[in-house]
Amino acid sequence: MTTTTNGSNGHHGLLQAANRPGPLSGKRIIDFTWAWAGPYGAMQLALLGAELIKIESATRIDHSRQRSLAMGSFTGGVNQAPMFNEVNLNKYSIQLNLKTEGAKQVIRDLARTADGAIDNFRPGILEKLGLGYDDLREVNPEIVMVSASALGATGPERNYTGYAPTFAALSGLSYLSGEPQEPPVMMGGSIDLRAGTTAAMAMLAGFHYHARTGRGQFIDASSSEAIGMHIAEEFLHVDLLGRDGDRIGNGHRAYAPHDVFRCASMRAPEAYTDGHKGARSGWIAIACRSDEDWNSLCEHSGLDHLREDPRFQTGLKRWKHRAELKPMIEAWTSEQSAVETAEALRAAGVPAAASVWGSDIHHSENFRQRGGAVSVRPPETRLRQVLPPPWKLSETPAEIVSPAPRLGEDTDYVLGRMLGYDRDRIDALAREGALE
Amino acid sequence: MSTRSAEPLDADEELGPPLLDGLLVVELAEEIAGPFASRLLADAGAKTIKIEPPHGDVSRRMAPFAEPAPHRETSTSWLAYNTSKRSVILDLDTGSGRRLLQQLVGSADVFVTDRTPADLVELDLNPDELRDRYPQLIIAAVTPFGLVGGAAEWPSTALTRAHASGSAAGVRRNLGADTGAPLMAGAKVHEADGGMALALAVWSALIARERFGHGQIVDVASTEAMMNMDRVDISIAHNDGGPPARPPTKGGSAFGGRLECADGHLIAVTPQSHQWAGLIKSMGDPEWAFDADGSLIDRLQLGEEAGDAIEQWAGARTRDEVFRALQENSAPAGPVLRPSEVMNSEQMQVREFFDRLEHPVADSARYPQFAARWNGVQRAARTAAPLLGSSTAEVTTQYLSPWSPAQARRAGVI
Repeated sequence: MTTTTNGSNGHHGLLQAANRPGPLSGKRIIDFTWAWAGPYGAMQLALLGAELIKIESATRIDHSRQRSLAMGSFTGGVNQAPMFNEVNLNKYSIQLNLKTEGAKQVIRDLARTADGAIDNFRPGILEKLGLGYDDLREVNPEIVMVSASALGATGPERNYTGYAPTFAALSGLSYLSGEPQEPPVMMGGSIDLRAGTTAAMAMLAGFHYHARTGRGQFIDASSSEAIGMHIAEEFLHVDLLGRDGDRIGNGHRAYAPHDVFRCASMRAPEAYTDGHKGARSGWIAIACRSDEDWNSLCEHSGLDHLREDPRFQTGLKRWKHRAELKPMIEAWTSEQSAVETAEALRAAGVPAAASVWGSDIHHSENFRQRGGAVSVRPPETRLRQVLPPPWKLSETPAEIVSPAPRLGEDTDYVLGRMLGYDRDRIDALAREGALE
Repeated sequence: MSTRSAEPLDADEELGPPLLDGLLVVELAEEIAGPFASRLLADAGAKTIKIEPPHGDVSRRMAPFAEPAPHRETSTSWLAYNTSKRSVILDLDTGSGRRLLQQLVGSADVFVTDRTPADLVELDLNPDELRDRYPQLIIAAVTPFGLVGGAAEWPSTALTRAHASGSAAGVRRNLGADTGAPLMAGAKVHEADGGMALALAVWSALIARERFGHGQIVDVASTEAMMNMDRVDISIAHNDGGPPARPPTKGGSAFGGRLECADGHLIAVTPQSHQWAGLIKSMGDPEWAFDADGSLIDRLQLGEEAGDAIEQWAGARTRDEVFRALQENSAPAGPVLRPSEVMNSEQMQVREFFDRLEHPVADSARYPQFAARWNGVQRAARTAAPLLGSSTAEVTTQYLSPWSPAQARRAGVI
């Protein structure tokens, strides 16, 4: 595990401390994004080595510094929000009030030196400010710009706005999520991060294209389509079977048992030696793909009598009688601990997993063997352990070098060192209200 | 042409070549994550050769099928994740089959695989050795628990991966009921996460190769890709012991909720004050929403009656009526659409999000595109998933010159 804290060179010192060049090292990207989806996408690019300059303003604070859909209002200060830290690592923050002419000029100067720009505004907002793609292209024809909006920059619903749960609703995913006899579920923040991943990939494709052809471009991304793209199979279901698919919860169309079962605890009591207090209740997921899996499950669970039961003797029979099977298996799991039982079943060849969350993820042995969490210390709060990126590159590894910036933390650095403005010019901008 | 115009981008006059024109991808992967990743590359113009065993990719046998009876060409899962590819049959149980694969991988730009480390060693495709042998090659692996680590060979399925990653717990926690069973989201979306992470990393590695002149190994654990999607809430749970349970969702509460309309459900999310004001305006500015001096009462100060009133209002209208009313007043909302409704929505049709592909055995069907439009770039021609082995002869002739198809067949390789 590695630790990053603000050293004597301050925040920008950390950001330049990466040990090895990343795929995007030396690339500068103007980051207009806010909330979760856009910032997570932009953060992927920062983790790949790009210099992400987040444009912020006290007149219009990124609301993930203040509240989350899941938590409601966050009572800490704007520099202490855990939500914000998770999706803005490795970035610079400059405070600019884009309604002022001085701030607009700063953006144009940044665009001249930038390789990319990314935003998740409602289409038309940046254009109204005079900072749309056509404006940025005027100062830098090779710039690659990704604009990720709720439903895309074209079409009758282009001005509609949304959040993660509405992207999932509009894509068909919500309808398909949940238990068969219950209403569709509202999805949460993970949907934003999926949309952000899609936007980041669009930008990478744009950069790769630029490297090969020298062409800049505008990329129009839709967050609702991003989720639709993740569930391609369901659209084929409509055209080829003539109807929509169904909600199946934790179930499967052919396998049984294939479900999650309640356990007595997450881990056996003796496993809690490091002060970590595990969940009192736990859940185990078990999937039997074949008679072989089923026989192994029976053998290792003491449910041997079920093997002889005519209701469960073939895959099809188990599937038909899965509702009767569930309480029988749960009678056994409810006296076991999830982690150790899953381990024993896997050793017998049966796909099984404890259903983990939070610290149980951080404490998993495989997670640690693969490098584990990274510790960052945001300046106004305590040490936090964050997840590494979802990919590992052998020759150009990602490095989390800095916590999320304080609001406007790098304003002077960006203006003075990156753009070469002198003190007088910066002071004049401040007097104009451009740096609010 | 204005980049914001509704004109299809194909109308642009000076289109550049497709994104990945000229790239060669070789895929040894089954089910969803690996095939989805290489499908994204194939749809972007990369020539993509999928290696299949003589009996075909497992997903060819996964229900449902276009017809009631199983058919190896018509599984929806197979069709969805294998567009624009060529299928080559190689029997990797034979030494010569493994040598042919080795040759193909050696001539590729990207090798996409979902095989575990032990399998790769057995096939003489050890990633470290491949990297040494072919320094330009990008070796892109998506496995359940990663190439490195003690869990690499664990048996798993989509269900156990969704639970082992925290992804299923995340779905349940978002519902506010922390006593309920963790829940896998629908439509195999968790599996797609691994494919997205891999494709993103491959594009990064391609950029690195352009700049630094070497390939590399990409190691994606699909469970880590899934857990990253919940990284915000996992971090808060781990570092802060939280988060507190969601506020109640009754009446499409301030922070989002599900409403039951006359013809189905709708999600409304109004965390910002102007959005809440928009919701109230959509309802005709009812009196209970304002205090004595006429200013809007904060949503959190209102009791259950407000939720009841919103539910009643929505319940008397269709999803579409509520959706349009809220959006016209800047209140974010979305109807819970069935996939068929998504396909028929005007928005998706105007944006041509789906394109129709013909298939010689399954009927023609609409397939979703990538969720972004690259302005000024020619779209690669997409084709439906290949018939099993349909490019075996062509590929063995073109890429594996020492072997004529007849020789390969005689050797029992294809």
